[in-house]
Amino acid sequence: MLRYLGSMSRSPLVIDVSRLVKTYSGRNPVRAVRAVTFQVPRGEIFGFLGPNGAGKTTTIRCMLDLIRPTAGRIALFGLDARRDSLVIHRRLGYLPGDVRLPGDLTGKQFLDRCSRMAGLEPVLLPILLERFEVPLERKLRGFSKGMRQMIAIIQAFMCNPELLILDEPTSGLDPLGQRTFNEFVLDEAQQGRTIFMSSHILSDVEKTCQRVGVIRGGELVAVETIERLRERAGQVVIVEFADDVTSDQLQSIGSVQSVERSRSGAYHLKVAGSIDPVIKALARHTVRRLEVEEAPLEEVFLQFYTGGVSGTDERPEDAQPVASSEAAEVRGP
Amino acid sequence: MTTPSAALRTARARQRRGAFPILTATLRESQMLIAAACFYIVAIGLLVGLIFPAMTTIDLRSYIGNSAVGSLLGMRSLPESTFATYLAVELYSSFFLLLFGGVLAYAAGASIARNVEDGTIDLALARPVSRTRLYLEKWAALLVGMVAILGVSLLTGWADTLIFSGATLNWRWFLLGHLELVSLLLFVVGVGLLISAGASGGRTAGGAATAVVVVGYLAQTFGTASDRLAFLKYLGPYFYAPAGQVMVEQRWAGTWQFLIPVTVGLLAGVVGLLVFRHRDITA
Repeated sequence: MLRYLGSMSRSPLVIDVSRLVKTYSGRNPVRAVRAVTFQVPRGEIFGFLGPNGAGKTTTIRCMLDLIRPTAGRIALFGLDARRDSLVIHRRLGYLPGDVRLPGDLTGKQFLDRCSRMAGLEPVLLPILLERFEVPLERKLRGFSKGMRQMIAIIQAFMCNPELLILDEPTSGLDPLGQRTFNEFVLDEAQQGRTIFMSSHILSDVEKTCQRVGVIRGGELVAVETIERLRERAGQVVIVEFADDVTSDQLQSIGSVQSVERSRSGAYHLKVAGSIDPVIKALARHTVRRLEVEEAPLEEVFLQFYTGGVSGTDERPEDAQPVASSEAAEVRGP
Repeated sequence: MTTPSAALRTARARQRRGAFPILTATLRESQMLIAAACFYIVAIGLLVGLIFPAMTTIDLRSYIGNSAVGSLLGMRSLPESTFATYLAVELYSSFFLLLFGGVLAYAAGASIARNVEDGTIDLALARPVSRTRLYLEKWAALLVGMVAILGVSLLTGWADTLIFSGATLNWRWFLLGHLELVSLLLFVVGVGLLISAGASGGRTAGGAATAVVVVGYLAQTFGTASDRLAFLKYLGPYFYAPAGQVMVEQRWAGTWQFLIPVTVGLLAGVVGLLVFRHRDITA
């Protein structure tokens, strides 16, 4: 126990995943996760993004010791995720990606069972029930998808865990439910809770997370702050001129990546990097209208997803495929 | 000033002592199967008591004396025609293993695999619940189911002696017959858990465990019916723990024989635990 307490107090990192590899054995072995490395400090909301089948859930299941890694090391609260799993699991809450609930139980019975399995009182239940309205006396089989998701969120948070591992938490929630969840997560992070959430919905992580890791084909291709991603996405300048200006003239401005012209005659300039040379160049003409918007992050992520961009931080160096035939398939068996 | 919400947030969750949540959950999942088994034991037991006066006119000895029928029932001989004999033939022949052992095998086979299939095992194992504890609580729940089945069986025999005239039991041999049933059902539970430990589909694993019982029954039936296939009878667990025969012959089949299904069941259960501790939980 002293060893646990010592390592817990020393470690500022709540999650420390180092060179994680998971290969599903079988007739056609599949390497689902390849040398994934990332860290999450205490109190951070970390988004784990990637397309379907990228390896998000496999990574999460390795962190929870549901799946045993082929290689690499996972430490939560400074403790080994496998050897010290019971101590770790006492301090975390988990929301599975595909929420399945025992239909013969009422919501109240289900939460009571979860609390008994945790061996902890559900101290946060009153707060959670204020935020997420679910009919506790009804059998779970009668719950809609959104209600199932909400009661699964409640069970994850109710015993006041220090770390939350949430696999696609807003899946199935309506826009109101998504907003409630996002507000709740931000409040909880202010209390010092560490939240690790996977998603393939960018808007979720954009609103709540401080940093994101992007996984593609089992490889972590980037770990960056949302701010850095916004910079990477750049800005869009919409400009209408009173005089004649050609696309080529605009394209020649440094930091302009692309130029499009709308039917109304306005130019849409995609700007990467500093906007200063663009403004100075536009000032040489008679400008009728000028708008500057942040470029949507979706494009950056699509580039990550499709392999057009690779990240700058914490990029694994030695991720190698098991065999060339595996490269396309990264899902679990 | 601290608001009630803030106070709740900063409060550490107090420890809670719960009484075996996995065990109670498993019993809840298996209750329909166990209840159905108990219902049929009561129905058959009471029916035998009801028709016992009429059955005394039937020459059951020559019926059982036929090797084919004797093989189907797993009975060799009937020394006398008493209520205990009829009850043993109708309820505690090898059909008991086939029917009620089959039900328990299905429950055991599905116990873990169903939770893997529907993903509910994730919620348990992401809590401070070790795989060993989960497995042992499942095992304990199935043993509770086994005790329920055997308890209902004993109560039914007792009820028969109270309700129906002429229905008497030699309790020593009736209880020793039930001890043989314990051996059979321990085997069934252990094998079912072994299959469940490595499987990811509830119905498939339950079906496979039931198939083991059916194959055991068939092996014993063909093994005793045909001299050429005599080797097969050693594969059937009922050969080692012939509960019905013990009740009618009032003779213990042998301690070593009794221990074989028990040992196989326990070994299968322990191997299942090792398999479960090392497997990946993937739905």
